[in-house]
Amino acid sequence: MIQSEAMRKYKKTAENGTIKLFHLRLFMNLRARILLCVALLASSGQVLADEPASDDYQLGRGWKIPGTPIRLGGYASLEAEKDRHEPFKINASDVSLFVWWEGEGKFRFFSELDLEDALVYEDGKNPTTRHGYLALERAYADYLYSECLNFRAGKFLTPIGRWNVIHAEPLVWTTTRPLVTERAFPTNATGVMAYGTLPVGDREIDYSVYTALGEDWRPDPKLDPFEEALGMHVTVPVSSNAEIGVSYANFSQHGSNEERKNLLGMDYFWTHERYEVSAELAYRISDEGSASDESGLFVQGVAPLTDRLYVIGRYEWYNPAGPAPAMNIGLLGLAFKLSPAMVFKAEYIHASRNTVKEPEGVFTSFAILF
Amino acid sequence: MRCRSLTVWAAVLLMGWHIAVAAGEGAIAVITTPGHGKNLKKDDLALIFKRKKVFWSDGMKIQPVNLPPANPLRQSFSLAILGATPDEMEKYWSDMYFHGISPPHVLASEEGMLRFVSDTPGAIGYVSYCRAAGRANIVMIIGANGQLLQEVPADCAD
Repeated sequence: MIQSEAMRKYKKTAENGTIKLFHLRLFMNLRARILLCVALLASSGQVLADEPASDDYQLGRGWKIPGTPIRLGGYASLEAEKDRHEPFKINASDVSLFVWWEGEGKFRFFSELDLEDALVYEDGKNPTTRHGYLALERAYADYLYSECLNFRAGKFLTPIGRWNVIHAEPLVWTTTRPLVTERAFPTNATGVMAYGTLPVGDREIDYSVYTALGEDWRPDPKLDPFEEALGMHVTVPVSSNAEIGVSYANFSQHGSNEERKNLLGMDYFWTHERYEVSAELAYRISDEGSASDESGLFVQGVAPLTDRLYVIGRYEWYNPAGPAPAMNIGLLGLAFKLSPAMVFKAEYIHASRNTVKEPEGVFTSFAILF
Repeated sequence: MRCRSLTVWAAVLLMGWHIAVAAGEGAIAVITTPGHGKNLKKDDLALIFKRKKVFWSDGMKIQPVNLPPANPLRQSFSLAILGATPDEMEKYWSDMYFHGISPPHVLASEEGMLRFVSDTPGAIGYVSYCRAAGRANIVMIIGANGQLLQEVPADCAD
């Protein structure tokens, strides 16, 4: 690491300078000593202040293993919930570990292991670890050809909408997740991707094109992974503080590999002085007829109440496949940001015609990015 | 008549621009190690400081460095190039962290940045123009109002 070597050189220079000045000080009279002490403090302060600060551990930015290009980080969340269909529950829902490596060359590697539901306490029962599952969320290598074109191979988050690709609890405003961001498509894909940023005029257009091939790596038994998929996502800024994304995917899933699905999605994000509006829409068409189609959308608004406290409102409409009618879900919540890396959330959810047993009730969580 | 008033306004704006150009104080110099950053555009700079552009055209890794978020120069640079304050960029960097991308390293002072950029191959940073003049490889000058300056600022008070 060239940068780290340069940083070490700074520290060494600072130490040497401090030691030499300290030895000189022993041979001087009192006034000179006082003056020198002041100068020494000022100069060492200056030198130390010039040292790069960001190699040190910082919450929410990970830790670089000294002398290596490897970094460790992750996030954790603890949830307490009273779903109206379930008993009261406390759940260590995610302990996620990131390990990534980035050297001076064109390759980099990233992985995420997520220990889900590691410890669950349900009202009237003993705490248990039997729901625990170690999921391989992501494991991929990138080849960075240029800002316009990069390649990724391995297991990655499916780039459909915004929520799925930044779904970590500390990065989203609510404990629960909109259905449209996870029910209409498999959230992970194992395959290859090309992605990059294309400058068009004075705008940066982010794109990704991917294909999922064959078996998913360590598929989560609760999910139905891709059997085969081809998709793309494009994000276009529409102003200095708003962007629109478009997703398309043609895929089949392991559990129903004869059925071919086409998904068209849109997402929107706007932010201004800590206010936010986001929305996602997905429309999935099945080649088995309209009874298997699925669609939904959500709109979410966030407004600051104080420096750290935010209020969140969300409306979601979801029309599941099959004969069940479309449902409406409303959410009202609060989020208290202890720091950019720590958030406490509480929300109330009410759903009408809740045929898919979407969680309803009061949900709280504490999440930390470490 | 309308043309005349437009001409007057244009002259006033031009004069203001020349005054801004003449005042080196407040201008930001984007500095690199020699051999990099020639013909650098504002859009490239934004991509570099968002860690989306990571290599120079010769294949060397770009090493961008920032001043601390509260530093007025960092605030001006961030607004001029990224269109957002460092605080407003926090969410962007948290999202990037989720993908294993770290923000540029932070150096505590402009002197530190001058030394780091001159010593580190591939480095790019920024300091006040008057501090960089004659001491660093300047590839871009950003005026006090965030606009790119085509001419070298004339005076720097010591």
